[in-house]
Amino acid sequence: MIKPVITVTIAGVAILHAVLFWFVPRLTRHDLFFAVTVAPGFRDDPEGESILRHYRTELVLFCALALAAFVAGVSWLGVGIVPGGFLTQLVASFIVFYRARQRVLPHALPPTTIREADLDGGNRIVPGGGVVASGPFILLVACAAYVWIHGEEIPARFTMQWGAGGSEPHGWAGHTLASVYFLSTAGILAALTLIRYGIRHWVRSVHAGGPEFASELKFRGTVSTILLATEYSLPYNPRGSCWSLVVMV
Amino acid sequence: MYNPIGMLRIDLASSVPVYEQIANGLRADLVSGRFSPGAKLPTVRTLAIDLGVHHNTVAEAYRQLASEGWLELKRHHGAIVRERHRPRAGADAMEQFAHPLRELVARALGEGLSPNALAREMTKSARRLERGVL
Repeated sequence: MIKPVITVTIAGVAILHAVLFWFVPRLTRHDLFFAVTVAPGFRDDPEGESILRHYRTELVLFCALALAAFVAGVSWLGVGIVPGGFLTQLVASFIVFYRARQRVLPHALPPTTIREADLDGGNRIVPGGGVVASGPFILLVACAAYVWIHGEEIPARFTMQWGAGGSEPHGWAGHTLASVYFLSTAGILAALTLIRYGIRHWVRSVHAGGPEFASELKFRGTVSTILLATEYSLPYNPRGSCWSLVVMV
Repeated sequence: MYNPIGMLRIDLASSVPVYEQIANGLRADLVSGRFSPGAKLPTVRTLAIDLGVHHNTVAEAYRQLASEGWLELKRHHGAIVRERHRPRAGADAMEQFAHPLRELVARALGEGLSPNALAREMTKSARRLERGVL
């Protein structure tokens, strides 16, 4: 018997997924439609609206089919089929998106050969600079040092994950370098830092200059700051993190 | 290609090599005094990403300007604008420009522009660059 909380969670994620894909074609710049560069007014043209209507109809149909298969699978094979169900829905949504893109492609704008660049460059400094960026790594190293000092107090096997609702544990870690010294967390931090730096320095702007360029740099700065906040929160993630081990020790 | 609004503009479809377009555009800014001595230009990588060209293309443009005395190239510090005094034009200086100028004039005349209009435009451009008005 599937627990109600699991059923609600699964249903919620499936519905959220469908809603996101419903709105995705409109959540981009006005000259982008299903990842194709089009004339700015194309999305609101009869042709554009027709393509969007087709897409949404197919999305509902495919997601409904995927979900039906998903529910049947869960009833027959149990909760273990859940990841497969989400994957099926995701694949179905991407297929629908791809089909819509193929319909938009004949209306794509030809690429321009003119390129522009603002020689002032704009503010591309990563928010907080190197000092703030190193904070999450310092936190992680500090936790690792603390755990290393009290290493003998860590049991050979300890719980790292609990089931839905925080009831029974179902994930354990051993007293190994990776699980104790948070190597996976360090890897994630490194990846996020690279992404933040890349967003500021390795991405070609849509607009070459003017207020749109400044606005674009500001948006990239905001995304970079959000990623930085995520990095700072990672050491406090209860799953496989230093905080739970420090508390345990 | 030079965009007087203050941005560097290139045309990938142009017969002029891209590095030359970049150098020409930057030179116009340097001649007009838009960049004062000591100012830093965008790094090779940043400008290459913004223009969507290979970094060697931008590097070649910077090297060309450095050889003309406009820029100082320092590793890990980018390109810095040098103080450059206008050299005295020698007897053969005009010869260096006469040929490309002749070709440009021929193209303009071929497109229907009158000699007077062309001469007016060239005088106007030279005076604006002298005054630092882009």
